[in-house]
Amino acid sequence: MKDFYLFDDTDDVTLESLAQDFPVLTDEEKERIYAMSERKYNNDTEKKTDDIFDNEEEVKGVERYRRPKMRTASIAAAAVLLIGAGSFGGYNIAQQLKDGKDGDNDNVTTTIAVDITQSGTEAPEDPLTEEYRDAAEELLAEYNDFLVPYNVDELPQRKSAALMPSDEEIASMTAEEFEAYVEEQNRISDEVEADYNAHHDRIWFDLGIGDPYDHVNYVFIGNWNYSYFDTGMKFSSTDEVQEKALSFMSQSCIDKMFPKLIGEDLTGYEPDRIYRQDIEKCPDFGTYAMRDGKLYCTCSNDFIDDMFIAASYYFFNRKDEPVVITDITEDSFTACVKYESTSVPNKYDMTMKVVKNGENWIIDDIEPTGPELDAQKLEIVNKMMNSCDYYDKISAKKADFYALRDDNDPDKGKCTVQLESIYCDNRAPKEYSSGYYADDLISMDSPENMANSARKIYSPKHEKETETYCDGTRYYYWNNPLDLDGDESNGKEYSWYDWNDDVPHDGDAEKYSSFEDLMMTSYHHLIYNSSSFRPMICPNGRSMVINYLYDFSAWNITGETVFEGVDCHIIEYHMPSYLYKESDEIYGISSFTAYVSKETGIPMATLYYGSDADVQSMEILYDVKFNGDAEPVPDVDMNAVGLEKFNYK
Amino acid sequence: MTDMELRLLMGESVQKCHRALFDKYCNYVYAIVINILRNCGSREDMEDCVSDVFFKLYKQLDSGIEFSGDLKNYIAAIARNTAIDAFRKISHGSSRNVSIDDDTVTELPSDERVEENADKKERSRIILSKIKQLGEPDTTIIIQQYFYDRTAKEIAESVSMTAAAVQKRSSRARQRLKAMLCEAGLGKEDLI
Repeated sequence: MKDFYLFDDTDDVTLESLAQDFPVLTDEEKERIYAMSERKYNNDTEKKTDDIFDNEEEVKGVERYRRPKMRTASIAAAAVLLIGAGSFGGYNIAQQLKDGKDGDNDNVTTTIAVDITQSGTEAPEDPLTEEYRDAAEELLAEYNDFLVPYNVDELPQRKSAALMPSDEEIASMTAEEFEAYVEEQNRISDEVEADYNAHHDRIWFDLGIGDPYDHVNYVFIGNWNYSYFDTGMKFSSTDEVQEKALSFMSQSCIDKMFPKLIGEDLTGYEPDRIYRQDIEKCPDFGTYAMRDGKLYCTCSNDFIDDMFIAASYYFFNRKDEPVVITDITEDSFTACVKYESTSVPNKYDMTMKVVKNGENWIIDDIEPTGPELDAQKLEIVNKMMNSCDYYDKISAKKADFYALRDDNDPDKGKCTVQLESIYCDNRAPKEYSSGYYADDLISMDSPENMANSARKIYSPKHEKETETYCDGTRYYYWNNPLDLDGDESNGKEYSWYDWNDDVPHDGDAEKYSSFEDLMMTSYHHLIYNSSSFRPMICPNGRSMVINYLYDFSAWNITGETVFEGVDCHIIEYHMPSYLYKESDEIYGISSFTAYVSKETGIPMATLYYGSDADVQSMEILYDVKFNGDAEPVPDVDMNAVGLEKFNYK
Repeated sequence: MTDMELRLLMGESVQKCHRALFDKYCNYVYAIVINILRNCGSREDMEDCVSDVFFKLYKQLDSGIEFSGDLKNYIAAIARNTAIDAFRKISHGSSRNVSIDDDTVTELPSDERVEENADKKERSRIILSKIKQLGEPDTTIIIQQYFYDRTAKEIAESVSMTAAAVQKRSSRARQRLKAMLCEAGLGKEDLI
């Protein structure tokens, strides 16, 4: 915010005080920066960094087998033996390679019995299983290696600039000496930059339809950031990329796992600009592309530990459990690798279909698999993701309570209250809500008692702070104006306003595929296909699903209750370790209990617990009236609000 | 932490020494870096720069150079210079995601002007003391919002409030702060 100059000239003593008394870095940020500094150090000191990527191993080719790493079989491993054949769709070339024979009838399935009862002894296995497990490990290493496009420690580095003088030395400089020093630093900096630029190139392309400055109508299709390095790239041409991929994957597997692996040659296309599909010829972009005879690659992002090329599925945190081999035939088998999580909700394993291609094994298909979906949980999350299908109208009050947690706060333990009234007609579709932040502080109590407290506090006459309105065509959100700049002469300012066309229409319902659309990226961010993600304007359970419940192993249905006259499931959620370890120790949510309406999927009450097991916040709906009992949605005159604020056309 | 303590830790374990150095100074280094990159760098740029600072410090430790003076001042100098270096890289870089504010370029040299140091220190001291007088959570909100450039949502998480409440408290706190700074003779500088 450039209109605020308070800190633009801060001296060292104040900086130290700010750092000491008001540190801002979360544990997650600290760990990230620390890891980054260690990585730079390790790369720079020419040490072998074998452990950058968990499963990276030196692989010369799938035909060279290693001795297997024998691990003790576990109960979990025995459980995954049940998963195997039948999970692959149209990518099985195994049958094509089997003398032209056809059909599943020829697929001789062999289930390997692992004796898990003989503690401390290795279970006897089919000798072929050991050999196939070796092959699977080799292929997995190849696959993981292929995901990372660079040999990180060989990438060009910026040369370190000369060591800078100390504060005291700078302080003792005359003005002329200081200017000379700055000039010299500029020269060194330019040299370093020029040297680095000589060894790498970065270009970008944006693709869209329409005028990009007309953000109302512009359709953004994608962005490609390509990098070229003269050292450290694993491949030097798209042909090499393709050849390498085909050395351990079938073409159908490549098409499935790495769609658009190879893009059009970008020579002749002007880089660093937006391309418009509606008026000009645009490149057919891919993960790898040639340009002026050099290979360019686009990665998931610039952090070294996330330098993965785009893939259909990602697999996180491999468990220390052996690859499970099933469906053994002479020229095919299925390998199941256990992971802590995958990019697909409720799927925990990578299952590879492996087939013989000449003398070599190759991966014919990869699928995130198992365990079986829990039918009751699936029904609940699907209802939460589609709440608007299960009721027509609602009027309700909403209260959010946030506990004060600062030890120095005399009101520690009490909570602040945000109140909101909500009206919605799903079929119209229309919605209005308004809310404000109450001045009262109250003690945390049971959801039932908190609802009573909220009833006492709520005043319809209180100044509104935020409002939302959907007129059936557009959805608006704004903060009521406040005198933000403290200058009464120029009136009040909007601090926030926005609008969009994401209004749900019943006629579009079929194109939304809900829970199955969710997916995590290579860096654990949940994403969804926006074209098939359903907009909703009414209370619903979608955010709880996409934030937490997508991992079915993290929660249980522990009972039922009636809250505010609504029959509810009681859901208890515990943050899985792969998420919680990255959370802030003090303020992160470690678990929550939710009362979810059996009929509509709306979370009626949610109690969030911190790492200290205290309730840190609570969200409740009360005075809820559905359908015929619901109060009507009030009409709002948007002209009076000021439509020009919304870039409305 | 002295040079000797560092050397002892280094002898024990390089990793341990790095960790101790990082834990003790990461907030200070981050404050120095953000003070320089606030108007031109992204959050990633700042984190990258902080990691660069520690990488340089680790290298210095390896090279056996003795930190004869005040280690903190030495680290501050490395942090400042690395941030200035990063500022130039960002300024010269081709990434379209970085917006360069012309004002910042001219601010850098002035930030280092020796003759202004005394005035600067006094001014900074007054401003910080007035911000502290706001009381919590307003002090934290103002510092996180305007020094650390955190969003209302991030601040809300750290002070257990809603983003809307943070926004509102920030607005009120600014008005109070403006009045307090006017009283202290800093009202004409258009600080807020």
